[in-house]
Amino acid sequence: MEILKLVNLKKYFGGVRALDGISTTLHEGEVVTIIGPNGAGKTTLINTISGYVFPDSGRIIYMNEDITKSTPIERVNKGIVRSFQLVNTFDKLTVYENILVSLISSRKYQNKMTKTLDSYTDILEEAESILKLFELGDKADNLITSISYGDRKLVDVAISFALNPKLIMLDEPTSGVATKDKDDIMKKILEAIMKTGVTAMIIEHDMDIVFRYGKRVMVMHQGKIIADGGVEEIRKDEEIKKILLGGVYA
Amino acid sequence: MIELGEVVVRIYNIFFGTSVLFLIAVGLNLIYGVMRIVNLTHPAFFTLGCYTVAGLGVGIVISLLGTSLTPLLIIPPLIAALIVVIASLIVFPLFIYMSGKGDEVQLLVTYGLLLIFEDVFRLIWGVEPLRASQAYEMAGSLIVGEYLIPVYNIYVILSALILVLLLWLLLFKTKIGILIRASSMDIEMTAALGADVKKVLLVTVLLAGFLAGLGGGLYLPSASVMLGMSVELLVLAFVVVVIGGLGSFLGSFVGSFIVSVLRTITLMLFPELELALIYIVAILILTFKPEGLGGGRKW
Amino acid sequence: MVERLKKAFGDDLRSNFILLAIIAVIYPAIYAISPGWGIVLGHGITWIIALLGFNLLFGYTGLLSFGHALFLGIGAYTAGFMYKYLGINSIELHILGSILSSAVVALAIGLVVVRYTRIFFAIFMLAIAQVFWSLYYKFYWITGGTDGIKMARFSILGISLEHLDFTTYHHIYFYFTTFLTTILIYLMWRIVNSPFGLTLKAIRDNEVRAKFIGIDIYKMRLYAFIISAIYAGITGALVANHHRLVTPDIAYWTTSGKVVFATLLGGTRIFIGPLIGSFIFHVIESFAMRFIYWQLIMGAFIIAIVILMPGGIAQILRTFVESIRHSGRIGG
Ligand SMILES: Nc1ncnc2c1ncn2[C@@H]1O[C@H](COP(=O)(O)OP(=O)(O)OP(=O)(O)O)[C@@H](O)[C@H]1O
Ligand SMILES: [Mg+2]
Repeated sequence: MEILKLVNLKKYFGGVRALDGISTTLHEGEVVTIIGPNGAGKTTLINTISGYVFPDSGRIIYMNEDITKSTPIERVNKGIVRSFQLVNTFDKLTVYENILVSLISSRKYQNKMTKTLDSYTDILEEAESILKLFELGDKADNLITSISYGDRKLVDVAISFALNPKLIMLDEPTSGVATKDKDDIMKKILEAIMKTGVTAMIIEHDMDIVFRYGKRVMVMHQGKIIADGGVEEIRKDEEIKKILLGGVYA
Repeated sequence: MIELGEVVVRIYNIFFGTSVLFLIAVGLNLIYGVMRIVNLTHPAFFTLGCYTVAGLGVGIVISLLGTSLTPLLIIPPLIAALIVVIASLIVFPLFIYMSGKGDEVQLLVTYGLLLIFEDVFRLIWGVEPLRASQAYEMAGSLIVGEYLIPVYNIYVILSALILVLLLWLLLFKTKIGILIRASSMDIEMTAALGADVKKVLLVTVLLAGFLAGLGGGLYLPSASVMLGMSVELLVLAFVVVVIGGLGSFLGSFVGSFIVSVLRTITLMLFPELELALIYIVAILILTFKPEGLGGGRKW
Repeated sequence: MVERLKKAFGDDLRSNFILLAIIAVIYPAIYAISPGWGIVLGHGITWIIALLGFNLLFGYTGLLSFGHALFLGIGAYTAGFMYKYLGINSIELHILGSILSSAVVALAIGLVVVRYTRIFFAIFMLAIAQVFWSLYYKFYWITGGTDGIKMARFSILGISLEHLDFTTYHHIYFYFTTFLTTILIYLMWRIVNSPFGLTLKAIRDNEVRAKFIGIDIYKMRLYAFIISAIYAGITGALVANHHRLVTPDIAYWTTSGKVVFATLLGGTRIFIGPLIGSFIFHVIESFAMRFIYWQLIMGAFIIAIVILMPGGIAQILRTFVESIRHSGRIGG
């Protein structure tokens, strides 16, 4: 089943064509990796789908419904969830509380103010299982700012998963993390995607990671999708390699 | 039927209000522009200028030079500016401390300073309102129809115009002015290019203080100064910078003008609700044009 | 699982109740030695409520209000008007009235101001409070202007207290307020440790992320704002009855300064902060009032606290207690 359909999306910032006519389709359960040089428009694509910015033209169809003009909250409620490129967590809270907040929102408990949290055993149990899924259990009681950057990125992803999304969009979940830890994070994320069966869109800068873990790969350049196909097919394409390398080092 | 005389008086009141508000708001914006600090203490510097003239400056001039108009026009405001520059120098280390700290810290520290200043005024000058209107009275009035226009206020408007010009020359034609503007765009870059940023900050704070002190000194002879004035000015000056756009030089002017117009209209129609109506306009502007009417331009 | 939460909640509630109990027990003795200090304790108890509300807004939600006197004023004038125009002197009804009026005013104002944060919120609140303050002067034929509204002694449970001697009357005020404060502390503790409370903290820490996990940040802030206003309004109604006089001073910006200062002194983001802050503030104040330049001292203190001990006295005490426990554990 089609879950997301983008029709000729355009977003210009002054003269910069961040999105220059993006059309594509995602099917349920699909995992797409997006790659492209700096400034290709990858983040803007996620921004547009999540409602962080609104496109100049084009349409976003989600489960046969036009959500081009929906607010971010409406989209979250429909199951569209994103993470941000830079770590974006609740910095004075513990790892555990970071995940709880997300669960509270997912269950619509945020208006409940007469009973203390310990009486909501349903979310407490779910928080434990998410901690387990991402192997964060032993760090649960630490302040989020006191754990390693890689672990913070993981909590950031866990916050998104806690919302029980249908479509999850992760913006460079391994950026800023030491190369040796990237594999670990990627494995945990893919495992979580497998277990939940969520449709996912992952931006990734690191070509090694993409070629190792990607299935369907989408290449963006100057606001356009210049290639979209299986990982083997993309890997072989010399033209694309040139753009990716050129873009990175330009 | 509104007659010509009244129109002239009102328009001229608007110019007077604009001049006074501008002298406060421009310093607020300078400090915000360069240090990213909304200095809640700033209006207290204007008040300090007023008190200095009423409680010190005029007395000095009269005892040394007698009651003659020209020195009374010029010297007391300069004394006020000097005193405020000294006061700014005293609090400068706190500004260094605050720059780069979270806005919670900045708000609380400058708020604490505001409380301190208001009490220092009480300590030195007592609770009664002070006046020193010699210059205002000696300057006399012009008659327009049935209305009187005080010449002193015209002097204030002209002084403000000259100050705008001088300030523009300073900011756009001198080296330190270029550094100030550069810092307000990107202070790290300015530092990286080898500028002495601390000096730039010092000049900014002192310049803002100088303008506020001079403004207060110029303003006082036409009115009186009392406790609580800093807070009243703070809420007004804040509207000015919201309307004009935080940190914008042009915005200080646009904002001052709009607020003066609004004040004149509301004082005429609904004097009880003056501040409320001005704030409603500010909130509308903030909602529909968050970067202010200065066009979001820095300068 | 629940263990994790226990740790997060800390021993806050118990420490609050223990301190309140100690104060309730020693109060008669203190009053007997010096009625003046007894009254200072009365102020301390009364203001805890407003500070709890302020802390919910500032410490937990991240909105710093320089105009909290607005709601103290609403509460106090509600009590004053109920007495002056309706002849009601029941303190329970005054409190109910002030809850209603501050909630309504907070709803109207909050719909606009919670859309702003930081300096904008701080100054909007200051400005709105100043507007109300000036209205109390300008409509003097309703409010009594500077002379204010003089009130008779309150009645409680329908019983008039006019015939009592002042000491007994004040004792009744003190214990009634202590009772009310205890309940309100308990309610606030439930609020800050509820799903709603955690959501507020999340909004405080990261507004954008909160929005993108599906939280309606304005609505949550509005609720917090209204609760905070109600708490301040209740203190306003109590202050009116304690002083038996309502003047515009309660709505002046320096009253807001007092709320900011006392809460910072006690410790923001710490549940027991307001309780500690209120008592210590009033003790310092009653010493400092002998010099008139109290505001100067307060300003200097605010700066010193922000720079030197951002967690306030509660944080210092907590560190102290934890270090004792820790060394005890190692020793045993
Ligand atoms: N809010 C904005 N205002 C102005 N320009 C923007 C804005 N957001 C993005 N851009 C511009 O749009 C282009 C695409 O940016 P985008 O962040 O989508 O790239 P990206 O592919 O995510 O790059 P990176 O790999 O560096 O994260 C860039 O040139 C960027 O400068
Ligand atoms: Mg990006």
